[in-house]
Amino acid sequence: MQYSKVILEHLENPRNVGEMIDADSFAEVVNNACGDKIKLFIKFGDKQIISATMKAYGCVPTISAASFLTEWLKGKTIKEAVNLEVDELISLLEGLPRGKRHAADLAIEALQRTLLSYKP
Amino acid sequence: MIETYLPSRVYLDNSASTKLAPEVLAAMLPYFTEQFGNASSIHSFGQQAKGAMDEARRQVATLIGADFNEIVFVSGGTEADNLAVRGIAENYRSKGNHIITSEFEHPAVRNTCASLEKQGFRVTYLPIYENGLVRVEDVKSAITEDTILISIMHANNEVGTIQPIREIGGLVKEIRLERKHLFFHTDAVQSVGKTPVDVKLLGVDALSLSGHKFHGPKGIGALYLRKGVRINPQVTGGRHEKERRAGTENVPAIVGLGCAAELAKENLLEFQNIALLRDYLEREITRLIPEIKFNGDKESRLPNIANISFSYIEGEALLIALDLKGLAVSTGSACSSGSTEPSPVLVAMGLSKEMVRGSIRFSFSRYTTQAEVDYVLSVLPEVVTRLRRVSPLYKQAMAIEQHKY
Ligand SMILES: Cc1ncc(COP(=O)(O)O)c(C=O)c1O
Repeated sequence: MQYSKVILEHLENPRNVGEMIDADSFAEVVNNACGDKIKLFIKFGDKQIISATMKAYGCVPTISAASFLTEWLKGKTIKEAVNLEVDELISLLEGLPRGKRHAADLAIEALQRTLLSYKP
Repeated sequence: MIETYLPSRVYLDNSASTKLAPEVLAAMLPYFTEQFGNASSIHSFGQQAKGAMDEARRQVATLIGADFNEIVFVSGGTEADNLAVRGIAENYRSKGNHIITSEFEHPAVRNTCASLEKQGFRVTYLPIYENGLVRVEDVKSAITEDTILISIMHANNEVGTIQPIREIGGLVKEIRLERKHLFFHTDAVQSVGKTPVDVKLLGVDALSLSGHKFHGPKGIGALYLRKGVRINPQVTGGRHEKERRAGTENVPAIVGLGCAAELAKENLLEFQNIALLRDYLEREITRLIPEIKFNGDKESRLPNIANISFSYIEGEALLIALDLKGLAVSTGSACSSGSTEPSPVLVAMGLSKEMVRGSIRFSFSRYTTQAEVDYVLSVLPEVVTRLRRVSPLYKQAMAIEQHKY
């Protein structure tokens, strides 16, 4: 399985790992077919996302996509975050091997759910 | 043991494939160059090739206690399994319609049985118990008037458990006193060269082996076929291999297989010491890493395989993280297109989904050193801890990092 440099680097140094106790919103998503799981926590400021943390279980790109996302989200507006699409995330991750698209799907689902559950 | 050498890359995936022994390569080389004759030709070039093949056939036969003419060269373990299972089933179809195999055979046997099922054969898949072994009683009670073939692997490729082949062989011989047409095949691809394999002692009628699992070349293997057992050839053509397998023989590979067989025989006794290194790895992992599970019977298994499940993490992530540290292992978890295909072997052994997904196989060869095992022990705990820290399944208080901003 050939993974991109970005994906491997996040596997070696996962960012923002953990549960955020004072998160403004949070979601947990599971891929029922394979058991992969992402928990995402976001803290919002007035205009922008202040920080995000995650926990992830599953194959390499699931962990790396979640880790990547927490970094990417920092400083983004809600609108920018809502508009992040699966294909854009995949290209930010420098591509995914065949059969691994579900990892980006799951990460985007986690993001959407977290944003939806945010009640400012 | 004093070893100053620090390995930069460590290969502990020898159940997948092994390094070609340098002696084997040296033995093969002339058959690519000067001695390129076709073993069927009657001139000196051909006869040289034929002579080399005869020598290799003797070497392979000697390794497993077979007779010269009972060895059929084929393209590898997969073909040997196909030829045995399909070849015997098709040939003896008029005598019966029932095949017995196990739930945890290699796909080369499992999928061949499945394809025979489509052609109208009835196949019984015997269960595997938690220790990774089939039970002889189960074999016994599955045999019917209609059974023509039993195919049970010798050592399992994922957990290394050694099946009670000798007992099943004895049972088959007993039954054959009354019913002539019952045959017993074993896939010994993982066991040949690692543990003593003697076809007469095991009481098998057919046995598969593969060169690249014991430091021989890839794409070459052999089927042992007991004298008197008939098969339908699966590759038809010329009269090679006593009309059991057509096609101009791959002489360099056959020579390599023979040489590898001879080396395996010489090294077999010493190879048992690999268990000491393997046991050392298991002991140290137990000491260094909590919440793990060893898979497969501890007594009846190959000396060179350790299969371990790590709770809360996923095999592929662990494998890739270890690969980044230069350590090659394998996993029973393959997640693709959003669905995990868990190892049927570990599932058959009754492991939970999570433990199947978190399984890693370390497989040693005679070239594995203490320094390499120590290298594993120096990287594994850190990698497991890192992945557990990320895992939402890991609920240990100390592992939960709560952020406040
Ligand atoms: C138990 C078993 N049978 C059969 C095979 C197939 O052998 P080959 O790779 O030579 O086709 C393998 C190897 O993967 C194996 O482990």
